[in-house]
Amino acid sequence: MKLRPTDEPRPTLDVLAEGALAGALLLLAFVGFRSLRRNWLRTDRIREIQASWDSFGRTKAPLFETLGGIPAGGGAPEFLGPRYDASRYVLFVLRASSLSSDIDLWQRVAENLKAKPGIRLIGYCDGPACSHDIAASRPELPFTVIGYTSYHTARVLASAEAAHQALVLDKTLADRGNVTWHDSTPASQLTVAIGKLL
Amino acid sequence: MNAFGRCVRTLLVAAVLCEVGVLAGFLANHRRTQDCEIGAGDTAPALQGYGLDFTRGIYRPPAGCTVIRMVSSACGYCHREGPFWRRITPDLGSAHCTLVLVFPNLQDAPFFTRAASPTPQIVWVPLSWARSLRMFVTPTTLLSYRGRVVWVKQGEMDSAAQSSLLSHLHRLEDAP
Repeated sequence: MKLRPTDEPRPTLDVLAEGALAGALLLLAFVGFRSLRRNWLRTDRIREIQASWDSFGRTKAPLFETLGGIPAGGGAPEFLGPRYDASRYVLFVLRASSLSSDIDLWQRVAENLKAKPGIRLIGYCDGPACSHDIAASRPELPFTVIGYTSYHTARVLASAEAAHQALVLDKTLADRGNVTWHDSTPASQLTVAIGKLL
Repeated sequence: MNAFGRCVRTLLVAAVLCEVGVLAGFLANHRRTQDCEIGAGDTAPALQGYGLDFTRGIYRPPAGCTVIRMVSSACGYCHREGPFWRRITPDLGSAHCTLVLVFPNLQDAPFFTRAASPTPQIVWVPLSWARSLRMFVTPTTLLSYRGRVVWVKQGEMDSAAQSSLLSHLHRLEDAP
């Protein structure tokens, strides 16, 4: 005998409870998913901002607010900004672990670039140990060595150092390009690479 | 079990799987936000630098714990948090803690200098320091007496973060 619709077995209490639980869980999952999506996008945004902060890629906008700071050997602060009279800046990081060889290399590069006017080389200590060594030995250097600089400048230079890069900037402090250098890079090769970006 | 019951059971399984998926997503996102170079338990590099007023010379925090607060005029909540920091000054004092402001942007320093003059402020930092602390990951960091990072808060110091910081302050174990 065929059952009429009204004769179909009615859902038991268990099934109804399961249905209610499933509905509640789905609603919770929906709210959670929306919140997750918002948090995920926020994290993406933070990472993007971070990356742009640390970036030393080629830009038309000024990369730095200032190049200045407190010289490693102590003394008066250096305010090296876009209005400084140099037309090109070459920035590099001096590492405490290989300070003498780094200084020697960049002294030779500075010597090679002396013929080109308006170029300012600026070295940055990678930490207080380097600043301390420079303050103790007070070498006669053809370039400025900065021990403490603004957080943003320090952050970008730390990224550049991690990638073994020296930065070449124009007079507005926009990046003209980067030069890769290592302990074994000859000064002549480094000079040629920098010269191409001037 | 009839067709309706099977349908409900399938829906329930799907709902549980959705919950697991969302939970896994939250955990994955949490890990993405934790990729800073310094986190709770790490030892922070020596906090030193110069303020905007160069005549003060190099700043080294006194013995005790330190709360590093990175501030920028671009962040709206940095302005709103002023009353909280003023309110907890006695707690910081009783825990022998020093609050230090660090300005990532040079042009922000004069603004905040006017706003909170007794607080030590650092503008010029060594590269090693900037390498370790990321502005967008560690805007507020509590360092213990031994320079260990005990607590880190990204973003706004909401009420939960405020009570969390206070409870960590009162529970510092390596007091001199």
